[in-house]
Amino acid sequence: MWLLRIARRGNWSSGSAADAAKDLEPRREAVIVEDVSVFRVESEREAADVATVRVATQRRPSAVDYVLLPDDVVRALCEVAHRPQPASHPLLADRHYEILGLADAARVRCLAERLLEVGVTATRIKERDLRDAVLARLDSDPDLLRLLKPGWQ
Amino acid sequence: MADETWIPPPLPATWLRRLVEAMTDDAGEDGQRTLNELDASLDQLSKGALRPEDCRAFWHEKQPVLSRYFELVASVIESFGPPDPSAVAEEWKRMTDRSFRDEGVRGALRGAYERLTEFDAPLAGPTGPEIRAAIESLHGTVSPLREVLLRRSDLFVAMLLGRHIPAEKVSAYRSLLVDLSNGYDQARGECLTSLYLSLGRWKGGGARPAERAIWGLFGSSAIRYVLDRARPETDLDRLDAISELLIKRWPESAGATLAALGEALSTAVDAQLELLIVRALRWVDPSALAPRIERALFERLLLAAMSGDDADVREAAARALVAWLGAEAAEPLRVRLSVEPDDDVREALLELFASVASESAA
Repeated sequence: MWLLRIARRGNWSSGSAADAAKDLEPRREAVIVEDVSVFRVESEREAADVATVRVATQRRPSAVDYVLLPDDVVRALCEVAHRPQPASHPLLADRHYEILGLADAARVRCLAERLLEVGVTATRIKERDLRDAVLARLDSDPDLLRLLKPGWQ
Repeated sequence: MADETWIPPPLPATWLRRLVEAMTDDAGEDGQRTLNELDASLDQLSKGALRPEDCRAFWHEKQPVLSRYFELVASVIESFGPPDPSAVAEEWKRMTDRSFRDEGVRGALRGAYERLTEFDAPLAGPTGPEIRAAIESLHGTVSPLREVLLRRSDLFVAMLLGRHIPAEKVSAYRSLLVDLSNGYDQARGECLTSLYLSLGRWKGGGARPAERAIWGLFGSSAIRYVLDRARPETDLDRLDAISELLIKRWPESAGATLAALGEALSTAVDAQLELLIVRALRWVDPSALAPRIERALFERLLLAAMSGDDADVREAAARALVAWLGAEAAEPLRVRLSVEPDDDVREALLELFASVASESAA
């Protein structure tokens, strides 16, 4: 499974491929189009851990939504490349991959439609649960303490 | 006519450096207005006989306007970074590295800066050829300001060094001022766009925060630009970075933030922008707002956001209101709880209500 970088629950609950596609669109910087970041996870529990660490090290506290993308659906339409991010938290660094080819709007739309067909929805971690999860990790995770964003302590 | 020239007094050489740096400045509308005033005056002057006393009178009349223009530019340069020259140079290097992709352009800009910093002492060092060389060292850059400086370098040098400007060149001098203004307006837009697009970049070799550079270069007008540009924004990393920018630059950004939140609430199509702002408000210190009216307006807008259509915005507004009002938020929370339809938001409201109630009891 692939955990899509943070998403928006509303985009996946409407049943509209156009809405879901918004969370699959690549980031653009002028003429440069970045490939879409995902994290490789083996279970829903691991997905929750990755989402927690991702949010705690990159933004201030607030509820977070994420989407799990089935590997077969993604690979049927796109290539996926391993792109480690050594500067990130160790839980994230080696799990980081990128989905290639999503600069093409038609392919994004097609992927969004297929994901909705197989029942993909967004998962939300509420802020209170997120805080509890971060606090629980802090004692045993010096990297998290080092990389923690403001507002968590 | 015995004397057909007019003699503006010399300008400090530091102004040259500031003017060149002004290709990324914040002069904006004020600078344009000032230059328009000068333009109109020069136009008027060029239609009449240019006697020395007219020219001196003109200068005395317009000198405060010109000073104001340069002061405007200077104020931006001062916010550029700490007064330590090496730190400013480093900031300049970082800014040019980020703003221009071509290494040749970046090298030229760094070289230009090094040349210009040699002219720090007013009137002590610079001469016409040195200034011309400094301008020419900008050769190869994409700056439209550089084009203007090179094309009119004789007039520019005369202006800076207080040399005589022949009467027949007054109209050219006037258009130089206008061109300078247009030049840095273009460059300013180019840099702001580049910096905006890099907001929230977190992966890859070039990842680094652009927030400080944006603020340092363009001041509060950058916040207005960023908020305007964020309306159709969909990239979540960029939206988070904009939210962080509002937090870090509070309360200087309060005016622009207040206006944007008011607009987002009234148009009802900007839930993303609304959420971004309301989330940021949770982390700022409301007491830092000088005029009480602003604080009251923000509170009213937060109350409005707490009754809005978007569940995430309602929850974020409730959290911001608690951060602002503390125990005083209990009553609006209670009222909202009685009508809140979303289970997740209700749960968050109950949690917040319990926290302010216990704070109140303590």
